[in-house]
Amino acid sequence: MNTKTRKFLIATHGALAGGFRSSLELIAGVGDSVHLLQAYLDESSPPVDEELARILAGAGVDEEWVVFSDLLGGSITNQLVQAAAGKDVHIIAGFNLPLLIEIVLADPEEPIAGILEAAIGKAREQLVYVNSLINLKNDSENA
Amino acid sequence: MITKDYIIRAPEGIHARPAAALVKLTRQFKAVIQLQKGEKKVALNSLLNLLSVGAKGGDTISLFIEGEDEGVAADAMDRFFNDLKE
Repeated sequence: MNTKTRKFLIATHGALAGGFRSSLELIAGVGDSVHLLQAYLDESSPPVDEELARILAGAGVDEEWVVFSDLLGGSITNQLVQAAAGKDVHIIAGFNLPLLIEIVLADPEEPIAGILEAAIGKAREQLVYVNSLINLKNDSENA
Repeated sequence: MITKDYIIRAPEGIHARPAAALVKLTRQFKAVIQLQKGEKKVALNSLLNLLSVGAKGGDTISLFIEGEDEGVAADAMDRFFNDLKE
């Protein structure tokens, strides 16, 4: 059983993270439970590495963090890997809205590793070319 | 174990917002709650499980509720599905 406080961070290039939080709030009413890092928005934006160090400072002691980043291989994910070294931080790159909702709504007492493995598998199934799905259904009904 | 059958009266079925509300409601109880439509049966602790069922308006679904607080959970499910109209 997990006894640490589970915290969430969405880290993206630009304002995408805020959009995800807006959708999370609209659908599940839990938008306030996630932190945001919207990198490179303008010249006054603080350096990403400093922001990550500040946000993740409590990770590993009483907190475990789940971080959703936009691009595997992108600068934010790369800096996340460095900031998370030795800490209780779980990074998911290339996330989608179904995955975000599934994980934020999951039982906080359940160990995170199992939640992430199951949720990633199910969220992949949500990435669908809907036209093909409709054609498949029509074909089977007409057969 | 308590079993309940409901007809989904909301025209749009169990879409994202009611599905999220149902998952949050389910988490309030110790009872394990499962939903079945046709041959597909899923645990209600997951939004993506629930969406994968594709419960539409007019569909009949069954709930299976098992655990120490199953009576209270069943009452809450009654209220939820009776109020689900959008």
